[in-house]
Amino acid sequence: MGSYRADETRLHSGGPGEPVDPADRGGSGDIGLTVNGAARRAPAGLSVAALLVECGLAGRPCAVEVNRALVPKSRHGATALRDGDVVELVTLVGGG
Amino acid sequence: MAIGNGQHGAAAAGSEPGLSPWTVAGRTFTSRLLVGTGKYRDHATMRDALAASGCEVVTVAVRRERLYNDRGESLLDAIDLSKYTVLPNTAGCFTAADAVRVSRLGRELLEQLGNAGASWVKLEVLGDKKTLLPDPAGTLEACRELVADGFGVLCYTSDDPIAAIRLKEAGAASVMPAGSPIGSGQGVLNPNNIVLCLELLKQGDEAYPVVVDAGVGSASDVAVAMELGADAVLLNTAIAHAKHPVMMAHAMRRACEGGRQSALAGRIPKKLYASASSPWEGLVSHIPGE
Repeated sequence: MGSYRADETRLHSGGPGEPVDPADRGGSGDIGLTVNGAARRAPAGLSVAALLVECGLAGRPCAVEVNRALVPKSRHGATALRDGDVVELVTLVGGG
Repeated sequence: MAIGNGQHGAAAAGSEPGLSPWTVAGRTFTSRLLVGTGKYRDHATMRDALAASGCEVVTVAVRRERLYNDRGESLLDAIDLSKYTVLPNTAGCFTAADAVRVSRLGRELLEQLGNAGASWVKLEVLGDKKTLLPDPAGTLEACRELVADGFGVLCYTSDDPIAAIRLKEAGAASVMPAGSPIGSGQGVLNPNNIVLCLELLKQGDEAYPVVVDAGVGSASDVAVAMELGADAVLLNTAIAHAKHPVMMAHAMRRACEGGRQSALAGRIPKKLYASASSPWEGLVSHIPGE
């Protein structure tokens, strides 16, 4: 599972409760994200929690991966997205 | 197989003999049917079918949110999660790495939901999209990794008894051999292999839970699996795609309970020749050849 660990280093999280350092926001202006396979522009420094709001998923159960590393709900607010991040927003659907 | 030894007798949770609870991955259930939530024509039918089946465990899949089209009613809104323990699956995963990844996503979702299913998973690592047959090497690899990560792993596998025992040795909380390919409705194609799986998995460990997962087409298939000695049956399509899913769900429940009782009650041996149920003695008519 080496790919998970390698990718985790790309996550910039301030940890629970800590404000996001503007220096970690990947510069000013817009950033490019891939969210659930589709390209998307977002303001620099956007947090995972803010992305969920933008996607209409605030308050919904949603598991989030950034660059294949799971970002637990407790870190959504403090995890800033960076240019080029690949984000997966995942839910539960009917299945056997 | 030590079933039918009388110890399961009338001391069951319900009033009917033999219908005792069973335990898997530290969770104890009365119902021995695990039912999938896929492929129903609508959520209302699914809700009614799940209720009719009497199941306490429902399986779900982990998928991307639909961000750019109409989401419709979410499964999570359609099911009363306080009633069911959710068992997330890794359906659609073809590598151990993907199955581990999806398992962790499922755990994250169920933790957010506060559901008791957060720490277990129905592990599927498939080898091929057409047959949906399990990849034994990938399944074993993912099983080891998930057990190390603290998951209770319920392993979907083929009916290969040696593969089954390897998964148990790797720490699987339950091994779930397929009766026949997923969604095929062919029932238990190789009962002898299921019996061998049961013998090997339960050797010196009678309580080890074995679930027949996949292939059920009708109620009699469930009864057969239970009569062979399975602890439970997991199914989805046979209910969801039945012409009358709710009626089929009732039938599945009855068949599961009937099959369990039949297994415990101890069937008669099969014989080549007949054995009259009515006495020969006192017969007023003539018996040919006598």
